[in-house]
Amino acid sequence: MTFVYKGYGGSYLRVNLTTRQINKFPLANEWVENFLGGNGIGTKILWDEVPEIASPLGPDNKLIIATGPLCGSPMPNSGRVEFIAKSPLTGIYGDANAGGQFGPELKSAGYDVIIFEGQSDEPVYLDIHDDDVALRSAEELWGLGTFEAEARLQAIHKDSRLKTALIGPAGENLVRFAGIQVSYRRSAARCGLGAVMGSKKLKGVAVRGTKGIAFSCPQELEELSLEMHKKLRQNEFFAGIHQFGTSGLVALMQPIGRFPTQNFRLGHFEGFEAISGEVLREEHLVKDIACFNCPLGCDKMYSVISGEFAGCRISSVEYETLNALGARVCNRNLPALLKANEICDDLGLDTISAGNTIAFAMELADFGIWNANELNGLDLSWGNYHSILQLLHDMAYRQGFLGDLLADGAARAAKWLGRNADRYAMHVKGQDIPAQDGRAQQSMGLAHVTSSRGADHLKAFPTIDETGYPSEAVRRYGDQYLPELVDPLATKYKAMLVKDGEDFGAVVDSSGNCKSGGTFVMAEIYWQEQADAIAAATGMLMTSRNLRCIGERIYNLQRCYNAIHGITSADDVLPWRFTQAPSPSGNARGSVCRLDLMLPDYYAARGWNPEDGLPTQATLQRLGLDQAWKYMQQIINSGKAKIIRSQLGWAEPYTKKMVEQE
Amino acid sequence: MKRLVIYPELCSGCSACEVFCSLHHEGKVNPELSRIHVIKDEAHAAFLPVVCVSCKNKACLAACPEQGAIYINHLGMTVIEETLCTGCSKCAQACEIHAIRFFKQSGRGKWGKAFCFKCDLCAGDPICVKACPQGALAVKDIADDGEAAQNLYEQLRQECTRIIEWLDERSLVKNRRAV
Repeated sequence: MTFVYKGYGGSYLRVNLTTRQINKFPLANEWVENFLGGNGIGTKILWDEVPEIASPLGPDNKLIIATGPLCGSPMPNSGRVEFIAKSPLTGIYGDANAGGQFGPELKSAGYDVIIFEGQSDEPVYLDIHDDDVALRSAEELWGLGTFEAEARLQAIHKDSRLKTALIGPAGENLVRFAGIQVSYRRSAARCGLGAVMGSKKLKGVAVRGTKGIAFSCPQELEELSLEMHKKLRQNEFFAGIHQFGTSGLVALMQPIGRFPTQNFRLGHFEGFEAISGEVLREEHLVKDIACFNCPLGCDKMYSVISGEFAGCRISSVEYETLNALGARVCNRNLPALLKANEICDDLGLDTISAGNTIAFAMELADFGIWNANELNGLDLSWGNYHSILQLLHDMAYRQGFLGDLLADGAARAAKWLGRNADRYAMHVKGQDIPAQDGRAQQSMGLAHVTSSRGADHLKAFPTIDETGYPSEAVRRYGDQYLPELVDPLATKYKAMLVKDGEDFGAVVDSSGNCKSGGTFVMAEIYWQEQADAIAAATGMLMTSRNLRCIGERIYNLQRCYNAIHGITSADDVLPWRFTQAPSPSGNARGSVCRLDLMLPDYYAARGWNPEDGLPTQATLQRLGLDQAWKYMQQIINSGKAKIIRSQLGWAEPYTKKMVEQE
Repeated sequence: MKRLVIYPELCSGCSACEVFCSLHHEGKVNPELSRIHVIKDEAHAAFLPVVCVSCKNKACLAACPEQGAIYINHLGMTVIEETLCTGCSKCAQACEIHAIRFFKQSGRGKWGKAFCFKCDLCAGDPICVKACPQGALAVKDIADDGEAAQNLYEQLRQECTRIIEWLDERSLVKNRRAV
């Protein structure tokens, strides 16, 4: 069977780390026709090949690296690569996505997908130079931070254009929120997929591709892409994003009470200016840099020149990090925050989960829940940045009682501890909640609970009601849903917004372009434009209707995968703080997240059973997933799903009403 | 005459120029086959787009041993007739800013997959200028004897040498041509 479409590398690698066997196959037509690429193909492989009983850190889990048809294409910001595996953090479906240049390089070598299976007994890395693919010893790289490991690999291969995807000590030490660092210094951070690599003794992948990527209609694609580049540059939000990247959000989220502070107690941070995008740029910018073929360039290189943290050099300092290692833990010291970011990137930690876990630990300290001997002399008062830096290090190396415990993430640490610690673990399905607050933006609260990888903003990525700009909303959905659709505190139409975002997001993550540019943050590229680009790139007959169907299929299959791990509507919950404790901040003052109003709408829009929140037979049949329905029923009815659910290992989010002890 | 002007300090290293150039000229995206090339030292966030700036000296012309394989076209742009190029790479070596690229897969000559290629200014309307989001590239109509272009060449040459030396010292390149 030969692969018939253009725009892809055209083949995939199956690398068995136990037997050291590497096999190359043509990409399956059926995969790309039904699941497109990246996220979709990864989901399909996970569903087919990683059973519900597989342990995330065992040999039966697989790590799938996948790009899509627009990765490496001329379409703007087309540098994204997906990593998919069962998550060691949540125990359910997991994925992480990164920009940089790794994805396009891999495709240029001729590969769309790599499937890693089994476990090596010695550290190895996969070396790809076009057709030459080999597993090589990573003995001398094991233990190194990602910065040095990348430089070392480039020196070994004498090639500064070598692109890598690497884990740091955190992944090696099986920290459950270890990320994967991709050239150049971009993170596929969430879901702890770095620990999956660590469990396989796979330090990383080094790739050099010189074959290039051919397209079905190159001229058409060139014109369409150039037009999209121009539209992005002319968009009203371009200047702000170009200048500040996501860090510009700090100042925007503060007044609407959506800037999580002190482990989500508050939605505003006294003195937020000190960690704002404006100060960051003014005091620390070295240079504007960009991912592959990206006109936005939200990435920046920053440095600290003087003071205690002089010498710190760090790129892509995101809003999420400024919050998680800043406001969330009440840290106002920007140089220390940059240092914390540097440690996370180098040692390979997800900044969101790392910050959220430290916030959890600090809140426990605040309420006197730790025993004195457990802290090893560490002062966990809010904002103590020396302790934050120490904890990051301790978690990455699983050092000491506290480091080892917290390396499993807040939700697991809470379960192990007992002592009512579950009340302060801010997570959904084991995944740490990112820097939004469902009380201040209802759609984000819904997005956090319906996300297939646990609490996450990027699955649905509802941005148009964030700050209430109607222009983008009208362009995408018409004016029929105004004013509620753009009102962050309104619940009406938010189920529709979240569902549409999840489906479109699944398609974007399967295509290989970026959700931060054009597809979500600036609403220039939507179903039609995306379909046109995919058609021109691949030669597939692609309409926006086809594409919507693919998006829905991918998202439903992810839900099915979670369902065979016992996930149901009972897990679609937010911790008490979001639903029981009215927000004390900004525009959101007095508001709680009304999941009770939005979730029924959401299940209905999805064609899912309103009782258990699972896809119905009719829905899955419509999407061509009949087999998935049968398998799901079998696992649920046999009671297996329930047993697996009971062994996922994290504490249930605490959802009952609580009086704030302040 | 029309010339490409480069402002290296504005370059973000996104490679959009390489993407569009290779697509436009070769029908596929492959930075290896791009006529414009971004030399990168990522650790220092130093990005240097290099492309023919129509310098005054034109060492490439003198270096070519083949009759007519490299000539000056009606726009005043030095161009390589790829069907006549034998892939000896002497012109590429003569250009100290790496604006002439050498691509070798097997054998010699374009159809043998070893040839030199360079910017042809896209008939006066370069695609890389349209693609660059940073304004690091511009096309300018300059009526002079090439003095300004020679100065730009000199500036690029120095920066080029500096970056390559740095990479070479850390053994990050196989040789100083392979950047």
